[in-house]
Amino acid sequence: MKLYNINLKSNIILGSSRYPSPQVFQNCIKRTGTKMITVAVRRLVPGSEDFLKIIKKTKCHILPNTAGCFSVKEAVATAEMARELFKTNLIKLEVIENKKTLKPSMRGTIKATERLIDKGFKVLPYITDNLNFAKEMESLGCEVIMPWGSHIGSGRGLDNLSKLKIIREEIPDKTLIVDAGIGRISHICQVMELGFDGVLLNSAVVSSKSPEKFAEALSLGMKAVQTSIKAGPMEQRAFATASTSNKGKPFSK
Amino acid sequence: MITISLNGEEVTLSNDINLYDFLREKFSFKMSFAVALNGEFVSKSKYKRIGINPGDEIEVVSAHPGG
Repeated sequence: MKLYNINLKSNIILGSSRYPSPQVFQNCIKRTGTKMITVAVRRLVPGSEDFLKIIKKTKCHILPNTAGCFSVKEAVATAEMARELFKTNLIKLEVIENKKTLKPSMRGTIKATERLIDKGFKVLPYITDNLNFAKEMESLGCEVIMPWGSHIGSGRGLDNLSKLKIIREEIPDKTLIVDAGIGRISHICQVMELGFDGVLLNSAVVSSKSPEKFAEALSLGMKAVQTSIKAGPMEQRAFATASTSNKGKPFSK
Repeated sequence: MITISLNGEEVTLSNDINLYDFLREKFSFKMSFAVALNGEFVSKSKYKRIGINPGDEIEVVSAHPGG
């Protein structure tokens, strides 16, 4: 999928949080086949350096986030610190308005996006499934837009399939990624069957009993759904259509 | 002596110290970190030109796992 000037050879972006060990993290990257991982910035503590080494070793593209930012000022400063640390203009923008739902603020995200684009960032905004929100992001110049499927870390999947479908229909030319709420492989299939370009997930992998196995399933699931889309699935019909011919049916008159 | 906040904790330091010297004293420049002063990002190239004032709030961050 296309993320600004990057042609990512995977439709999965993987979060880097809460793995039981660096080795499991590395294995999950390999098994999903992802080429991009999300990272955060937090106050410097001894040992932080080790994480930077780990992510550099993955050779994946790095997508820093502004997780936990509730104000435009915080989000912009966090993005700028991330740019210097990770040497990338890409930023996964999160401007949150509600602690319980981690719902992104439309007003805050718009303001922060404007400022960040002015500063030369390539913004990947985390938004709700509200079409107006998505259209605002498109009109500001975002090449990638990331609506939520459901609440972050909920694993519920896609709360509003029809809303996401409308976003896809109304914004046909931008890269659309479902960010947040993915819990199962079937959710990924739904996302891709809606015509989205990819998924961004973290909790689904690390909250499974076997992250490495789940990572493998992710890769298999993505391959399966992409192959089925290429095959051109049948149209849905309102009523039954017999698959067995009636020609030669016994007892018929 | 002046008091400032470093990553949310009170720190006392001598007067007339610039950001570069303060950071060198507290951390190693071999470490990868980025800095915000009073909520605004400060690029590395500006550390030597910025003085520290009483009550300043300095945030020093590094890479961290995130989703």
